Amino acid sequence: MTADDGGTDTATGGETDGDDDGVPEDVNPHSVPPPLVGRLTETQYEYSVLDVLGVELTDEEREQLPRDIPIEGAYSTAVASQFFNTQYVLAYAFVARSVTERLDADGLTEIHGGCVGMADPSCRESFIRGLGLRLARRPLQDDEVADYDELAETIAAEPGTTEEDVVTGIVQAMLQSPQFLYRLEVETDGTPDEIRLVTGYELASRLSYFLWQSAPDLELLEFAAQAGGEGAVDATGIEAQVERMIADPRFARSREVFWADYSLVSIASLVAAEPEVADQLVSSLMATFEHISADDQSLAALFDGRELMMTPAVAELAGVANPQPGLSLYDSSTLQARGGVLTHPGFLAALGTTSFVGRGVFMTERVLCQHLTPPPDDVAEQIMDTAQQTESMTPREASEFRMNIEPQCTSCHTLFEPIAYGFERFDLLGRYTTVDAEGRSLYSNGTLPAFDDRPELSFASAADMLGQLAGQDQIRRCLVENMMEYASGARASAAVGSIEQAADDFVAAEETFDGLAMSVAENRQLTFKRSAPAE
Amino acid sequence: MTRTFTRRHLLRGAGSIAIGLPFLEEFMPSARAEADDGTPCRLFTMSFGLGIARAMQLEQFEGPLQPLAPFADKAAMFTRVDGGPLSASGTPHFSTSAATFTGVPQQGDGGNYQAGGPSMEQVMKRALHPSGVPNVAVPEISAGIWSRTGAVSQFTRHWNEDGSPGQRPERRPSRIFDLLFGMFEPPDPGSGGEPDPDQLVRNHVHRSVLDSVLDQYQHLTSDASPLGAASKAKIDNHLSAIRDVETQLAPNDEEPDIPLVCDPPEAGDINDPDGYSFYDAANGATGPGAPQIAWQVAREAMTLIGEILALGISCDAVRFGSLLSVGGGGHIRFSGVYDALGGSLDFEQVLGDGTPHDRIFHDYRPEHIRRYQHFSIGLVAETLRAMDAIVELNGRTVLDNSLVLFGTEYGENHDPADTFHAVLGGGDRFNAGWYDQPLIPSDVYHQALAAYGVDSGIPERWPDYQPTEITGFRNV
Repeated sequence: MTADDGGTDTATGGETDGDDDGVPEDVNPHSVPPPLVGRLTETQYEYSVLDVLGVELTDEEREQLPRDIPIEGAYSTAVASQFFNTQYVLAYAFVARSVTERLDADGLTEIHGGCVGMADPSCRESFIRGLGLRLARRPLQDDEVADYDELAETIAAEPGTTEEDVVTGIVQAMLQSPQFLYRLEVETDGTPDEIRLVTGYELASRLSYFLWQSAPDLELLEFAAQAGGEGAVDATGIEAQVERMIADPRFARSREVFWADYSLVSIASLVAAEPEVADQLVSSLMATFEHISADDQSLAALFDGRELMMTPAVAELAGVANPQPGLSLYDSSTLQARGGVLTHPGFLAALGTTSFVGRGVFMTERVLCQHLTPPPDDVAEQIMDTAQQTESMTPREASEFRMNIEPQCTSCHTLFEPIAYGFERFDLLGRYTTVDAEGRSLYSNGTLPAFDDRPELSFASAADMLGQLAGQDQIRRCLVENMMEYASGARASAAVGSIEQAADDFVAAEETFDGLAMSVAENRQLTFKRSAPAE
Repeated sequence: MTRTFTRRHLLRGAGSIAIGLPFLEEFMPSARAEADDGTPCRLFTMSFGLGIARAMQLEQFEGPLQPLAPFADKAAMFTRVDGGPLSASGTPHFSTSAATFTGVPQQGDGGNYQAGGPSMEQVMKRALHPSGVPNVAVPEISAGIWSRTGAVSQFTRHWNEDGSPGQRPERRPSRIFDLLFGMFEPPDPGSGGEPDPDQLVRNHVHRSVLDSVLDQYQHLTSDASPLGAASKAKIDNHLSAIRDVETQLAPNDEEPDIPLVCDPPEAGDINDPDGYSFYDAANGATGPGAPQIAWQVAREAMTLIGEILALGISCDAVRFGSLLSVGGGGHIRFSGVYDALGGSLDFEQVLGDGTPHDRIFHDYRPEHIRRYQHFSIGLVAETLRAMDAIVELNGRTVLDNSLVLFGTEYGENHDPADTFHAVLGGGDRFNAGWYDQPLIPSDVYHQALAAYGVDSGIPERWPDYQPTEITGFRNV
């Protein structure tokens, strides 16, 4: 697109696609969801407190902190299904009070206010503005500063209180304020449903909670101020900030959360394993993800890699005859039927099922990003009937039976069951076996139907199938789609245009984890929001 | 603290009610937080998963409903309650649960089901205590046994005003005990009853902090808010919750402490049953291959939960809540042999490596369904039994003095038609017995709350609702 066939719009800050909506052509307006404020996740709360106040939460405080359970398969950053109840309010109050008991009041005042002494009105204001900037992720307005100052005076006037009480009172109020607990964005500017640029500070907050799981630091806030502040963002130069953030040790938090959510480890119960083995399944899988991510390996290693990190107990599940002590790196090509990370016992165990349907739906959605339509209204009756009819069949026979029920089941089951065929020989804990509990033979071959520009794939095993998938554009786009969903807290399946751009950037960055995060962080999709619909 | 409402107050903004429900006009009492004898008004929803066929309901106490027999003289039982009009299309497991106890059609799809409005205990709480619940330990509580598989509607029965999920049911008896009684400490015998001066200062600081925070939430829910309606609703939930627990967050000089009308039990006496510990995990244990739990252990846990809840209610530590028995799709792998209704359910033999949901319901084995649901309903009945065992100052039991809405998800095997519902307790406001009248859940909820002078809000939230008067239900 050129300026000639499009136009420039102040609300969107760039070239548009020539439509009346003023949205750039590389941004899909349908993928910008209606606004819904998100509350900080447990992880985001914890790291914000650590980074801004320098206080590490205790185990008791972590236990108290509200913990959301996302809808199965969604990322923990998803905002649509966040719970809320009165216990949360009590928990936030408890944690705020508990955290402030460990504060160095003078030190905090000096860091954020550049002075010491709450009796001094100018120092007080300086502290309120400094700390408020970090916790609210934007400069406090004068009336907000006045409110906190009034709070400070009220506490100071209370007989028996000290200057430290004033500091802790202000901190407690800020930690319970909506400006801290919620990631607020202005939703009512523009016309209803209009696609608009976020503000400079809103973009800083989006980037920071995406890449660091925490509040923006001062450098990012300074960039935000120069990039538009409270007005529409001019993201010129954002690349330098993104590169800085990805190079920062805090980026490791995002790697951990993303992979834990991607693999379902964050919600897996792993109850089929003994508790100590369950812990090792998780730690081994997460170590493998970290190994390929932090080592700048291509994420194709998820599919065709040869390196798996495993503890002795997990290595035994993977078929290693003489495991090495401790967490060790194994060459998966020496292990029967193993390949990339998706054949790691921890990954398979986290799915919590061996059924073709369960594994197939998850892998089709998560790994292939082929999105399924909801089942028909009478699915329960269909399942009931089918279960009776397939009772004496092998799993493979039953699957083929389901895929041939015209017309209700065929279209979806032929889409999502074949990928699970490759994993048929892996049991609930990811052990390789050729027969089931009843002694019936299990198989690993199958055919994955063609999808978009990917041809049909015939495979002999999971490793074979994953190896063939590794070079497909579909896989790269899907990783980008997952990262976009993680970054935005909203389903990204409709973000076609921006996914293509980000996928190109991902490939250009040699398909590393850093490149994946960078391609999404720098994508223009992240700089847009939708105004609230008309009430 | 007693607040009295006028009828004009109750019906404000709900003009369609007066037109649509003329029969309620003459019956509508004034809503009050306490009865004349000072007994608090309370509402608890109780439910069991998956449901039973109408034929089994009509067996009355000769079938799966047998555990409710001890409460026959204080229960109105409904055997033709059609949940279909409240169910959206899509996965049936998630589709009716989000409407149970809200009485309005659910929202969302694709496994993301949310309720179309608040659950009834929230409605009553707000109606009776519009500026926050009374000075009780816990404004509401959710408890029960469940396993998580998918959408929140499978295990959530507490829905906020905007239909978002409220509390996950707490599974651990020890945690429920802590929630209800954990904040109470025996008075210091050396203090002579005088308040600790340092604590008074802290209370004043907390009050100032709270006032400051409240202003910010109020601004975000006002007309001047920069937020759209959906986000405002979310912030409003937070604001409402702060008001609910205002006195706990910041005791004031008039209400310096949470009163209890009984001596709280000693902390540390409550331990979770052996074998129940794996439910400590945030996600529970579910699905094929999950470890088994003896049905006796589940019964023991639910009995303990029931006794703690009943005690908490009688102590006025809580007035509103929900209890769930075997929610989450019925994927808990029980073990042992359960004898009931003239036969046995050998869980291990029947389930194999599967779950009740798969091997009993999807495989459709009615005899096992009867005994499984006898067991599941029996878990809820443990709480009813505990509530009925405690006599309050007015000479009636906790159950008599409470309103219990009892329901489930389905009728016959995943079919939302003919779901079983019941109303228990209610302090003589209802006539006990069996009602085989065609109804929908909204009729039961709306008319049960109307007996307390509380507008359910269902007609306002669901303009297509066509109410049916339940013949003989109200005791007037």
